[in-house]
Amino acid sequence: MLEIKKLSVSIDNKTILKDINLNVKNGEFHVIMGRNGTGKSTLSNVITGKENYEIESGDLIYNNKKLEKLSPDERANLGIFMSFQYPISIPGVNSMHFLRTAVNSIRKKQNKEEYDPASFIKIFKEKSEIVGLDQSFSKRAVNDGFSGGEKKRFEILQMLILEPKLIILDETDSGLDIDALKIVSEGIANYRSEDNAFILITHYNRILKYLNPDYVHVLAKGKIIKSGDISLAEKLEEKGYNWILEDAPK
Amino acid sequence: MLQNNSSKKIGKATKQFFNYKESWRYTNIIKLQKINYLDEDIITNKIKTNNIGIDIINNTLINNKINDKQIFTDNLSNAIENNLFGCANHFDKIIPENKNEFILNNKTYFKKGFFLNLDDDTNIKDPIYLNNLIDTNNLESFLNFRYLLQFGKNNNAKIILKNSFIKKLKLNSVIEVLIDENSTVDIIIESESENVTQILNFAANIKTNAKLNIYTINISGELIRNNYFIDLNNENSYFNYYGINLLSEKNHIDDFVEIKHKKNYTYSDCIQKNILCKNSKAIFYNKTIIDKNGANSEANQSNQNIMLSSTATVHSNPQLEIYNNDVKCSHGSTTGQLDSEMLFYLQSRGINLEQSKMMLLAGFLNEFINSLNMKDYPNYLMNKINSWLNIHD
Repeated sequence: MLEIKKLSVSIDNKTILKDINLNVKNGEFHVIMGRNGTGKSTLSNVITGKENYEIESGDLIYNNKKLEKLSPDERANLGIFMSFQYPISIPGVNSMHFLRTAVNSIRKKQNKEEYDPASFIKIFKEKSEIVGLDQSFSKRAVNDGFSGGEKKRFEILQMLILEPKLIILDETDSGLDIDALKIVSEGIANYRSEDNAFILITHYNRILKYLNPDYVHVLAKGKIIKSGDISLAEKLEEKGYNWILEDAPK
Repeated sequence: MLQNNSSKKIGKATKQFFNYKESWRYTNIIKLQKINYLDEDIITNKIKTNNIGIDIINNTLINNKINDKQIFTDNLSNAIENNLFGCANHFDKIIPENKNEFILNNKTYFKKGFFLNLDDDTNIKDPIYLNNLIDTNNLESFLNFRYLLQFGKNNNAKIILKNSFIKKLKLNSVIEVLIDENSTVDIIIESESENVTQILNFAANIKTNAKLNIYTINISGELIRNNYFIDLNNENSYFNYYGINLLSEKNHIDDFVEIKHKKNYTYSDCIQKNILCKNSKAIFYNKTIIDKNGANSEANQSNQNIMLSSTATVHSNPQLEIYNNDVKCSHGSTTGQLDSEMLFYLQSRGINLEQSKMMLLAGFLNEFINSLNMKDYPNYLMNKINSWLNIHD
């Protein structure tokens, strides 16, 4: 689904990612861990198409299509979705109107039938229940006045409604209490299928217990320095990052 | 009775008393001072309206379609002559004459004018539409419109004053409002025309426990200057001002709002939002003064501007003068382009750039639309705004 080949990325002439290689296939769940400031969010932003990042070299290929020149909305229409680490508040823009516009834009591009208001309300209600958001959200502005936990749940609600294929979860577990973490994780786990793939960025092992990932990668100084299975995440939690950095190729 | 042949002399003689320097800093008053005043009413019978409410053509009452005995309308000149509902005691007493010569000249040159009176205990759910259709063949001189709106005790009413311009013309209006005790009145002033030169002077007398909410919408305008003079002289009186301006081309809209808190427990809120395109210019000058007798008062000022062009200009001056320690006040001003993080968020959900921009601009104005708190009119207005945004964003 996603092939990242020798990707180097800079911002303001400062190289953040260096020669990254990552291959994500349908049905796979990848986890990226690493200390703060190692380029994890840069990687998710580059895949999603945020401006101001310069691709110095390498390729970003999604379902045999080069992503570099596509705008964020074109990528979303192809099925790429990012759950933001810090979802921004957009006062005045109604959550339900926003989501309906978004889902219908994507469905239109994917030659699917657009939702009429009644069928959208039904879906909105059904999916809201999965992530534990009450109906009052439909009247509120996007992320405006939401608590940290509510913002993360709303991100997952968007994922469930937009039905993307490649999902990047940027620290979706941060700011969630134990109960909310369980609800959000279950929402993600239930959406997981052989038709989609996930890249989760996290600092903590706790969410991984719910999600059973296939691969865990460690990012340091803009490079993937080690890959493994969930046991790598467990070892990181136990020992921290020093041992891995000492072993890493210079 | 309102004719005064020496009107031009009044204008010139008193000019020296007006303190223009600060409040007219960004609008060329000299250009406006050179404009002559129309000395006659021009009624065009060709204009027809099917709108509900009250039809006014060139400030002259044509038709009151509202069947409610508590709502009285007449020509202002007639009402003053017969001192209907004590209006002669309020006419020209609410607006401070010494602020600018346009007020003086308006008094001299207006003809019939418009008078509205609501009895005590009038509670109207639906807004009263004042559909003012404006036309003249003399495009070089000021038409002079005058309104006196009186609201009795325990009123609850919404007025929509809608100015529709047929041609590129010049308009000098004065609106005086009296709101008696325990009344809440919303006045919406809507104006749309690319080519109009317009001066509005507005003043209100707000009694104890009364509240005036002003909403202004200017969609384009060659040269618009709005002056609001509000003295809060009575305890527990409220004045809320909420304005939006949509500017393009060489539009110039200058909003001046002066609020004086002269008594304890008085409250004011002043919000102005502008969206600017091309070479347009917006000026917001809000001066709120809390007198030494204004303890326990609250005043908030906010100006937010979205610039859609690098050649548009904003001058923002939310100014507080506080002479009492026991008050709550805030002021703020923001000017900038559309937020790139917000645009990225919307685009990352599949919404294209153009639509994302539209969504943010509509969202910027949505708070205003929602605060109108009424049926039908907000939808009409939002459609109007969306049409403008579609053309100009």
